[in-house]
Amino acid sequence: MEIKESWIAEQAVNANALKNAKALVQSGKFVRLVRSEDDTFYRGECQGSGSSNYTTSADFLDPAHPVFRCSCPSRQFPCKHSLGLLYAIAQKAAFETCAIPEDILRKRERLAKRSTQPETDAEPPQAKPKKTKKTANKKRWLKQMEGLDVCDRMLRDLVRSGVSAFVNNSLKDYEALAKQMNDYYLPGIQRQLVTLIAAARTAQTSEGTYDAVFTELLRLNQTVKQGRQYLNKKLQDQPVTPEEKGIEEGLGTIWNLSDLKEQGFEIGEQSLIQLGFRVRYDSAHLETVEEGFWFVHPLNEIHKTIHIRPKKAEKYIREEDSVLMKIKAPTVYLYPGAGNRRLRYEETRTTEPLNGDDYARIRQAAGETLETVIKDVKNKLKNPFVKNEVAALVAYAEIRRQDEEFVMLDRQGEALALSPLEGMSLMALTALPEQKLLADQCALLLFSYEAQTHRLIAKPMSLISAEHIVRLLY
Amino acid sequence: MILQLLFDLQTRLRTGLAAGGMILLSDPRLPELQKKVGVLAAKSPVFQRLYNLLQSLADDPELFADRLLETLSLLEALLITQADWKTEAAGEAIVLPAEKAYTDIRYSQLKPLIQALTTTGSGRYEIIEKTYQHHPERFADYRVLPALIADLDDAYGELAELNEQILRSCGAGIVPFLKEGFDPAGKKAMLRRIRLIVDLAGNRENAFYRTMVPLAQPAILKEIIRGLACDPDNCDLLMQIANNEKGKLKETALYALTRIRDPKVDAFLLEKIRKNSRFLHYAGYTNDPEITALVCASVKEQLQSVLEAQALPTLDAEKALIESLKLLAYKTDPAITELVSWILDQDAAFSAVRDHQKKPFRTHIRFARVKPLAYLVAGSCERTLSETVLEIVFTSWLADQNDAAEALIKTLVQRWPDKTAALYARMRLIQNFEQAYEELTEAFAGQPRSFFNQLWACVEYDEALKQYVYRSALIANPLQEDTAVIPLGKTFDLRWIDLLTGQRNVEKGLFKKTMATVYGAEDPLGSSVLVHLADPENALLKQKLFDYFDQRRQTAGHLYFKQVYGLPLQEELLAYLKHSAFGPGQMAMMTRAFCRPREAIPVLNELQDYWKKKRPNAQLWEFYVLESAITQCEESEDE
Repeated sequence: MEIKESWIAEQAVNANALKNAKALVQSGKFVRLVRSEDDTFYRGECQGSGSSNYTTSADFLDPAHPVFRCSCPSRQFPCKHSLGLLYAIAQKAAFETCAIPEDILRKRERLAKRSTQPETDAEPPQAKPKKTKKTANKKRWLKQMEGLDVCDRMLRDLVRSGVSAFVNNSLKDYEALAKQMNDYYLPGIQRQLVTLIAAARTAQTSEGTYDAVFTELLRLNQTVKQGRQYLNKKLQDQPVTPEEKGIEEGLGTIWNLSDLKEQGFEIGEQSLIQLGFRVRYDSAHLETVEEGFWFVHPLNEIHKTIHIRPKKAEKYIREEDSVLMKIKAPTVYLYPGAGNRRLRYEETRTTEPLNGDDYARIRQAAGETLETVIKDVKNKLKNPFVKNEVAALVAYAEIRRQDEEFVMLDRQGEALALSPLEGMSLMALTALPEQKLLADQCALLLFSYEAQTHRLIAKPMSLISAEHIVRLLY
Repeated sequence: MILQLLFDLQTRLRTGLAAGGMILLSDPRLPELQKKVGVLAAKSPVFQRLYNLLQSLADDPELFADRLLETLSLLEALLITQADWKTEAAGEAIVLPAEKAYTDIRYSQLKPLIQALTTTGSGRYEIIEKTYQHHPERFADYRVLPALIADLDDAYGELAELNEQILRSCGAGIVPFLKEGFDPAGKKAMLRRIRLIVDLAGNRENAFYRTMVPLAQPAILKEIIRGLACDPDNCDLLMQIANNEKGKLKETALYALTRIRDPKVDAFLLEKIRKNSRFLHYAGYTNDPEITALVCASVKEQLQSVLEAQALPTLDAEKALIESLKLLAYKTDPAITELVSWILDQDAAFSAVRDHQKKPFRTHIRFARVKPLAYLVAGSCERTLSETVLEIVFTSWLADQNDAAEALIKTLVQRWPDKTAALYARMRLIQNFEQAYEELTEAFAGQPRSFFNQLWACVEYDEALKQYVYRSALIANPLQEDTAVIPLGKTFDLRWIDLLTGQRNVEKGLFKKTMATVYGAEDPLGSSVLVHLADPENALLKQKLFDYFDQRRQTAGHLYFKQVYGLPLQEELLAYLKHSAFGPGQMAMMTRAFCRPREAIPVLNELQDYWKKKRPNAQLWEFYVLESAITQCEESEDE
């Protein structure tokens, strides 16, 4: 069995798990290693802190979806023992041969049954379950309407008493209300309320700068308003457009792939090229947000993957990483919404190195003049649901420097001032690998609107030449 | 005009929203603005909508909140569409200092390092130190640099020190990052930054130093003054600082001034010296005849009192004398020749002067700046007073290799050929490196091997320059250390190796076996010279050195030789360590210094067994040291 260390790294939840797994192999903690003759099953016994050894196994019956099992109590999956076993395989450690254990064979059977069930089952009577779902949905929508009414009342009260009074309040009542939103199936509204409260807390310490509070307040108001219209339509069985479905995220709908597929948000056969990656900690929601910005071809649009790891469970959820290869996904799912939409792709994908055509396509998709790109960006930024951030590709003629300021010029001579992304310095532009990157290339810029200065802020994330993507962040 | 109207309206609405209630409706400014919007409403549907919303605010108190929020939403959207973005196409083209290879480093590779640099808590030092050992290139990555620079103010002082050291090794390319957001009134982190800027950029950042002077706090100003010393154009500014400031700043400005060779500075200094002789202390770099005369007179007076007392009673007196002698550097006036001649005349008397410990007074200035070999300390650098003075004179020549300094040395050689032999031989070696063999072996035929070892003590093969260089410290003031790096040439005369290894003697029977030995038959200076002369691409030289060291397998020189040529050395290292008097700690350190982690693990394992046999009752920590080294090697290997 050929396993690459890079593949093992992809399976790991975090870097520590990998390090610990390597240490297990190197320090000889695996006291017994066995494998099946057909190379589909591997098992190891590993010494742990308990009195008995942990038994860990890897089942490669379906090599694309290996199954890891371990008797250790770790909540990380795969645990360090499973990863250690993979390292032992990769390093061609001496495995004895054995027969595949009975319990594994039974598990394989069960898995096989489960995967073939939809095909073997007779045509199900579809009307009945749908009806049940519809009733349940109606109940949920009504409850959501109720929640939106509560939130609306809160907003009216807030406007009546004034934002100043709200900010200087203890905010406990609002926190309680935010918690309550979950009972109304409105986790999205809950998130927005938490963000609003966090903005108010910041305003308490920043001498009455209410900009962020106003922005969040208006966004929440829009969500409540549009959410009601949307739910009313649903309750009255009126058709809703895909654009209208964008509000679902604001309400807190958790989309799964089958829902997205069912509602027509899937696109077949796309190449995905990651142009930038960033990680930020959202202190309002106590979670780490990992975002990848992708060029989707042949759609020729920029969309993003969002991976959220709550702080409490951070250790147990796999970290995302920068992707340097091109991903060829048979199906891509784009969440409803505006601006750079959230995307997901199925795990069954292939990767391959980028080639000249890929870079050329990215360059073709870049807006030729700043004027046209910014017009489009402004239109997107107007929508409160894009959360004041839009990524766009821009072709530039030159990047110049004046003292500590950097400007990007297009072919028409228009200039745009650049600002740094959080965690980066624009001085990176003075330390690039090649001089040619500073002229006649294209860049991925993150645009946002700064109310205080009434300016559009442009933050470069990466520069794209005919041969390379130079990431200014990750 | 329209934009101003929108801003005014936004301010009114936001103020109303902040104040709450229906206060907004009683604001007399709102109807005024409403009227203006009304004028525009006829021309644009968006303004019509805005006008309608404003009108409806007062319609129904129940709907006031809804309408206010809706009006503000529309207004915000309108403002976004009007957002400014254009800027002046000013500035200049960016010219990269150097092009480099593209690197595809993923986030997961940089994350541990960035996390260690941006968070608090234990274990960070180790992560940073290990990454620096295994992937030093990652620190020069523009994604890591901002975090590394920001962490110069780490509360953990050692970590801040390490960061500074790492940044220094990144080279001048990082200076723009260091300048970004620099606060001249800042604290320790800013002090570290400016120190790095001065060290890495020198006079290239002169304009930056000058703009920072009026804003800088004293500690930072001290560093800026050091930077100002790099450009002679700053002498007026430095003189101004030296006149206006007091204490340390004044002293620093004076030291900085003395590095600038300018008649204006000499006049300034002379005036100060005439008023107060303590200013002679700042006359280190000048070659002004008047100042030189004053320096010589002062030094001679000091030496005469030493001769009279035949002793230097305190350590401070010794230090003061050495500092005074250093003032003789960079001066070539005949007054210097006279003074040095007088000192050499009194050589015997000076040699008999006792130091504060009642021992013969000797100085210990280490001039050689070749790559240090940690386990092969190349002997002592003890010198008599007259030898010290000659070395100081020699550094004057090393600094610029000008005719005046050469003439001074030649004059001294004519008068005292024996005492100045080492000096002259080194000068000729530098001047005529590739053909020096005949001349020097002939001229110094009767000298012992140690003479020739000393001759080569400052020479090494520089892998970056791909040639031999003479690397020696220069006499400097406390502001900055100076090193002279003089390229010698690429061709090396192999007969020198025969001479230095004793294969060929200048005169039979002259070499004696009285040299200091280190764990075996080894002359530390001799071995160190040979290791420094090793050129990895010179096969003949390699063979000669191999033959020599092969007969001295249990020496540190042998280990270094193998390390230079990348030859396996585990066996020799083991044998060396077993014969040495080292404890487990030193053994572990030395093993890690000479071997890569993968090669070190078996050596350390064997040392552990050896130690168990040798010291069965040893303390547990002794084994722990070796065990811990093995673990560290295993971990390093992973990375």
